[in-house]
Amino acid sequence: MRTRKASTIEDHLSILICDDHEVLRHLLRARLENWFDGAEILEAADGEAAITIAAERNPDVIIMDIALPGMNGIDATKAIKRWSPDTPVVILSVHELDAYRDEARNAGALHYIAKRNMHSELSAVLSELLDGRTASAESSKD
Amino acid sequence: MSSIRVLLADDHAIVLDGLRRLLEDKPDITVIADAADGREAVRLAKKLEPDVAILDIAMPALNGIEAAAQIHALRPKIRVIILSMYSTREHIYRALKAGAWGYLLKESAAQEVLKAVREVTAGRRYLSEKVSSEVLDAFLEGSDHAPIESPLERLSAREREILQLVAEGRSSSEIGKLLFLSPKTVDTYRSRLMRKLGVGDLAALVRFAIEHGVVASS
Repeated sequence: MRTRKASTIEDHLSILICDDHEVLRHLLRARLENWFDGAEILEAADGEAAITIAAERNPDVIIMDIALPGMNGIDATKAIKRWSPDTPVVILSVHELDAYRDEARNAGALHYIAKRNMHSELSAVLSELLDGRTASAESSKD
Repeated sequence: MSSIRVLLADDHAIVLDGLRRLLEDKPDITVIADAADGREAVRLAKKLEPDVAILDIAMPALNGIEAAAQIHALRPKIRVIILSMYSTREHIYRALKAGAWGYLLKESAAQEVLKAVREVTAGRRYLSEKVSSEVLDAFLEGSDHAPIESPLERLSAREREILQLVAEGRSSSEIGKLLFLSPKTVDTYRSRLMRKLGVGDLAALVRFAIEHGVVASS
């Protein structure tokens, strides 16, 4: 089992995005690079790839879709949390039913954001998770 | 040279944002409008006559393939590109048959969308690499196998529209309002399409619609 690395402002921040839609990953990458200057943005297009990258790179936070080809985001979150229980996972999904939120929470996800609320919620959630290591003034505009 | 005028249609606002971001900073491309479902896409395509329409395959009210067919019938000069998560022969075949000029997979759409827009504008088809392989395989196997077909072809365009709306859980009254039909006429369509598809109840109809990509599973 892996524990979180000590976090300081100087640490190299890394964020893993897991979503099968390349356009969405592209958009998220642009937003995150804007919010977190110099952060390393990692990408996975499916749950298996997310697990591998999470194990190899130990990102500071993971943004995970639910509907993925093959293993879904809930099962990928469970697998990641077994390996690295302190890694925060934020689910970003089109699903808005409570049943999905409950499943995500049970899998170990710390936050659940509906994709339509991404612009208003994601920056604040990441800011909180990353000990205030945000976020340029641009984040409030998005 | 005038810029390529593009219409976007996707029910997910952040995907529209992402596509806009990819296309808008290119001097030869202008995004002129976006739509959140297939019906709005058809209405805007008819009104604005873009050069290219990029349609998500899985949209509420009218999916991308049916929207492509309607746009093709109304404004055949518009080049439609389907954005899809499916690389199966049935979906590709239906999209091309509906008049689409391009078929892009979501897994590679960010890298390919610019090229696709420029290619279809120049009068050439554009298929994602995985899709091209599938089409080529289907062609090479053609002599030994039954031709590609979809059970959806047993239905008329109107029946396919109603199939999607029923599978989305809409009542006959709602569907009637949307399509300017009486609820009774909608019921008649519904009975007929169930008979044609050989399904006995609503649950089986919804399963069929999901299996064949008429509605998304989520």
